Amino acid sequence: MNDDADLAARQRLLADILARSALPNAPMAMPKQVLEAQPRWLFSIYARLLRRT
Amino acid sequence: MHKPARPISAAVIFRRLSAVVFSLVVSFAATDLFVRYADNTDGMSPIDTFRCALIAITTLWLAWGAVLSLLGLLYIPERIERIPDDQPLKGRTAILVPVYNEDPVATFSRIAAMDEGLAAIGAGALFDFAILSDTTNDAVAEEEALWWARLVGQRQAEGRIFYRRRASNIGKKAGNIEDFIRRSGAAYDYAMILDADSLMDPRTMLEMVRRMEADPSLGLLQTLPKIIHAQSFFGRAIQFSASYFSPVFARGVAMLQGNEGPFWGHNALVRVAAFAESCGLPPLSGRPPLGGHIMSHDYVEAALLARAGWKVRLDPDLEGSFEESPQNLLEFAKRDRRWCQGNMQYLKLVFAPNFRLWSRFVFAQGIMAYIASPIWLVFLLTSIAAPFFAPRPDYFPEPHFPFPIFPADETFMAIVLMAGIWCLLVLPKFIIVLRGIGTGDNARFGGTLHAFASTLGEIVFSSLLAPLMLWFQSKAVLQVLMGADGGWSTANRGGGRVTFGDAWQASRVMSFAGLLVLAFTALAARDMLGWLTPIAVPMVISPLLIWASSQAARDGALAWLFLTPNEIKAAPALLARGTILERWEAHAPELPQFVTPETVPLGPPAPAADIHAGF
Repeated sequence: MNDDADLAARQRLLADILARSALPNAPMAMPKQVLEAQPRWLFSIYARLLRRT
Repeated sequence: MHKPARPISAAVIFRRLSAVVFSLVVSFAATDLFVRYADNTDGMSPIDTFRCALIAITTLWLAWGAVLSLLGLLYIPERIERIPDDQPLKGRTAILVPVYNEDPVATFSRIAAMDEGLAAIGAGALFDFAILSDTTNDAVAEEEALWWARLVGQRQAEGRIFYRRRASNIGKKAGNIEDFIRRSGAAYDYAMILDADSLMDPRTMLEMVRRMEADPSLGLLQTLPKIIHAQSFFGRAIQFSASYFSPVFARGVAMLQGNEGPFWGHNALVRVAAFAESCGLPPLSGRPPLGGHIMSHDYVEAALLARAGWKVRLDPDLEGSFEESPQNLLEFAKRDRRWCQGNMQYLKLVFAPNFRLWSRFVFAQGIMAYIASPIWLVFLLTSIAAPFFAPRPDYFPEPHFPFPIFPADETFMAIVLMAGIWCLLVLPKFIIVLRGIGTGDNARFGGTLHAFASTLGEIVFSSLLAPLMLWFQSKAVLQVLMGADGGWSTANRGGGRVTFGDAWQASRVMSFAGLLVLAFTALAARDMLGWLTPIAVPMVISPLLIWASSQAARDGALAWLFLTPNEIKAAPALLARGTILERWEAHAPELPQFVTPETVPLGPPAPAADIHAGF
């Protein structure tokens, strides 16, 4: 078997394995959280400091 | 709607306040000593005032570490709710194993051991496994897929052990877990989050589910993982420390946790619905290193769960939780670089909205864990410079007084200060040895003599390595503040022996810096020589220390040092995994029917170390 055929066969095998190993289809929402809305006065001092660094 | 966590008790508030007050008092006392020392020696200069501020911060941090261990020694276990053994559990758990270019045989053998163990205690039906691959190396990914097939074939686990590989590893590990929850979260009540090198006793996993199911407000339950399989001197010293001292520190953390306990990223059980509703992490504004995806996601997730009213708890009594650790200082420093960058991102989060005060305090601790090193470094540098900025001595301060008054020799005060700082670091360790005599705990470490010798060895070894860590951590902080992104490197927890050439390459600048400090001090600030030698000499010989400490020390003359319970008598989970790994290394399991060797010319599995070629 030449290299191309070998590669194609391995890819088929992996595709088969990945199809069989697939995770359960049971979606769940995961909303992004708000993290950086800091008090404005603090943020402005802080942002300046961070920019400086 | 979940049942909100009860408000924290008055006892926890009292302990927190006491711990903070104790640390402040120690810091104040140290600073006061330092002021008197500096003032009486040659008068206070502006540089001395700056040094006072630095000593106040650093001793506050050291005192905080000491107070955690002292609290751990006074640990009062709380009543823990759990579903009784004779009652069936309702919830289903997904055991999540995120992998990233790790050795598939090592990872999958752990999964096989845990799966076998769960089946043996009749809990197999309650747990599924999901191997969540972010592997970027195609050859490793191919091996992962084949080992999944072998494992599923052997354990007859199709539809119970899953494997998926992400095309793009957005969000790194946190993104990997998030991707699982978005796709499959609704199929499970709980998720046991592991690392590729994690191993958990099946009875511990079942116990954790019993505890979580009994407390509807519990969002996350963390265990204290013990380090295992260390082979090198460095690795075994860390392993001993994690096994002997860390449980006491963990109990100290538990004494203060209230509802806002820690999450260390793995070997923890989460309630999937709580995690999904609270822990979607947005990227931080700006570019890496301080912006972009959140690297040290675990503390943030713990804070977010607490913010949403869920309880986050560390149960220090849970045994049977294991992980592996870097085997040499260079790998350790590489991981530390990543953690440093992640913790420095907390600068953007420490004042974010609605976090609990304690969560903010934990973020501040995370930042302090890394900036303490550059603060010490600046203190040392300013101490070398201080004599040059000292005011000229005034031998006749009293007008018309005919005799000179010489500055007092305050060396004794400086020694008291240094001894105090040293006590903060080592006294808790000796108390742990003494306590071990009373509780009988030392027997598990080979007896009190072994435990004492190992403690002494650990103190000497960590004192030698402290200047090296100070150097590496200061460099990491500086790099992050200068905007250098360290990226996401693969964890290498294997053999890890470092050649002298590599050690020299990694530490030659440090070595020269140490030499420079010694030479300058000897020539220009001779009084400081005694103080700086314990710091500068380890820096000078750092290549030797890095090389020597990476050598194997599991057998031979030093095998008795740093003995841990699992080295004396391995836990059942370790034995089970060891047996499987041995079997697999001798003879890889057959591939199942759906992988047909007639159609696909698969050779024998490549040993993980030889996986280089792309697929």
